[in-house]
Amino acid sequence: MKENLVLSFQSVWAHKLRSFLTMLGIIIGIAAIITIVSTIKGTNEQIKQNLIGAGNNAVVLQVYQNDYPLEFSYQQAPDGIRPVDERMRNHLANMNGAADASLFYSRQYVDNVFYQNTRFGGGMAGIDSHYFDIYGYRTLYGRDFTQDDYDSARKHVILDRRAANTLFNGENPLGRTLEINREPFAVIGVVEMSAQFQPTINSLNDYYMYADAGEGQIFIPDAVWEILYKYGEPKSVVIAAQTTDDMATVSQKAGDILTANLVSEQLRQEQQISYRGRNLMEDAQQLQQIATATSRQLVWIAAISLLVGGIGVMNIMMVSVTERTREIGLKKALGAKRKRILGQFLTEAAVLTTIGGILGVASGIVMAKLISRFMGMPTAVSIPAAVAATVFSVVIGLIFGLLPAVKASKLNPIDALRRE
Amino acid sequence: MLVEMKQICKDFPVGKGVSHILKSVDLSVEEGDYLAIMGPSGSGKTTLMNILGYLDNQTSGEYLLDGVSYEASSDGRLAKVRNEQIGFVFQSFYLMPKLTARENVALPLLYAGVPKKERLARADEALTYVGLGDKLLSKPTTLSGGQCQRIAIARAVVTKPKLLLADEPTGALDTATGAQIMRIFQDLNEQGTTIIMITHELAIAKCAKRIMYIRDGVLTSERREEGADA
Ligand SMILES: Nc1ncnc2c1ncn2[C@@H]1O[C@H](COP(=O)(O)OP(=O)(O)OP(=O)(O)O)[C@@H](O)[C@H]1O
Ligand SMILES: [Mg+2]
Repeated sequence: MKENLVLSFQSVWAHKLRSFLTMLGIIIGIAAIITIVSTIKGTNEQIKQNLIGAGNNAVVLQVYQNDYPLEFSYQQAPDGIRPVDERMRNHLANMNGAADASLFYSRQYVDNVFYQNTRFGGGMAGIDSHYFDIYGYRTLYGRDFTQDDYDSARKHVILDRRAANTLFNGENPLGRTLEINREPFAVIGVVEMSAQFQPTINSLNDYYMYADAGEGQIFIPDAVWEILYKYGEPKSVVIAAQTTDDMATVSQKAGDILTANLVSEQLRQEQQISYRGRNLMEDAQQLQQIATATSRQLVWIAAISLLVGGIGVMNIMMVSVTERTREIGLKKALGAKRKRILGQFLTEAAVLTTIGGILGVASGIVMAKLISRFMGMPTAVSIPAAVAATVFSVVIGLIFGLLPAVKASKLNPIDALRRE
Repeated sequence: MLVEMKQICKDFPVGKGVSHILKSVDLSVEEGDYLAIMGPSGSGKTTLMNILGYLDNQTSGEYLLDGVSYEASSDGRLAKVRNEQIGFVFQSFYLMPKLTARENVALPLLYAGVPKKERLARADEALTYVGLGDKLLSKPTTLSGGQCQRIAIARAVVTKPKLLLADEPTGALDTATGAQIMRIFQDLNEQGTTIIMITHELAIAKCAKRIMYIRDGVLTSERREEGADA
């Protein structure tokens, strides 16, 4: 084995140019695959980051019935859900893997918000002082809520940029009055999610961030919400996980804690009501699958290049067998068995394609880096893919080297020796 | 009897027909014998040698080596016989140009599965025996024809085979160098190696214990007319 490896390297080295040209097909094929896989992985990681990690790794927990969140615009909250209090918030914020937590009320669509005669069709949230931090909102104009706004339940409202645009059409909204549930609310500020928390992929952007909030989002202090909507309704919870990887466990654990502490046994059993996190991971995976599937087709094209490369290897190994007929004959005359000759040529083919594979992986990584740098596409080098590609190139060598190696091993020693 | 051949025939396809190169060869060689075979060019000497060395099959006839027939043996079995029982010396040496002298000589031991250390030790011993103890690490390309042929002899005898087959071992060498090779053969034969040697030169053939002639596809002991060889 070791002898064979040494011999193979010598023989590859002895025909440097020829070996390189032969490897070229393998190099190109492997490089293309590594580049494509890096691009897929980069895109997928970005999807994950954008979607799941958007808004500071926010994990939102809501009251669910079966598999759907309860929307309190249309229905009253069922009896038997106790309110989430500050103690519980604190507990959740200090959970393993959690960084902060906020309690809020929310409506996906409101129909009782007007500016003069314009009805606002977006969403509304009644928030506490942690909310903006967790979602990464920053104040664009005006100011944030103060402690006094919360404590004294001031009728103040903050708009996000989109709501400001839909309602005020470029006019300065500060100081204007909105009518919410027939009560006047003063606009005190406009906020925007800071860039780093915003998804950068447009489709996701549209789909997930703004689909919910079509015309934007407005915020009022949670204390005011409780006055506006007089019946008690359960608050939702948003927890900032420390890392994206913590999100799933935080979501799971927090959901269990909230359900166990706040939802009555009866509701749980009879109406399947529980606190749950929206499974963003599943959403992300679906999108990732779409991205992966499209790029997979490119991998097939690269595979054809590998096939052509493999045939090139087979061809050059055939030439090598012919060239070395006498060497083969001599070895057989000295007592080398078929297996040994077979092994020698298989090893040589595998060494050839493995070197090609390694060069291919290296150039694929370089390509991927160049693509991220000059085309702005996200790429991430996948170590398993690099290892798999290298192993695969060994296999190509073994497959395409087999025919020439068998041919060599079956040479009649005398026919082989006779050739001068 | 080490070698026992009865009515060995060998045909080669020529165009649509066949040409009978060996018509009926009978040959008996005892252990310790030293036989030279002479004959005109194209008479089938190399063909006979190849059959003796299991590099080729006879078309018909029986060949026993040390009492065993290897007809219809597997490729692996024949490789083992070639490796263990037979040593080859060819006219044009057939050394591996990229290997050192000792690596060349150690090659048959590699195929026999001898561990590396022992392989190299035995190769060095064989090379010292043929007088090349100072050229262990030289490559064949840097050595003279006589030296190359001595490496080839060392390689042939390193496995201590019973039968040494030599096809014109001095054919590519000058007279003085040829004589040197013959002294080695002489010594090997005295130590018990059976030798069958093909040659064109009567002077070389006379080093052997006996001479046989091949003509018209048969092997005979008597020498007919002069001048057919050389
Ligand atoms: N594989 C083959 N196919 C066809 N003819 C062959 C084959 N091998 C040998 N021959 C023929 O058989 C004849 C004998 O060849 P061989 O090599 O045995 O002669 P030789 O006695 O060794 O001659 P020389 O003294 O020149 O070496 C030649 O005519 C050769 O052309
Ligand atoms: Mg000949």
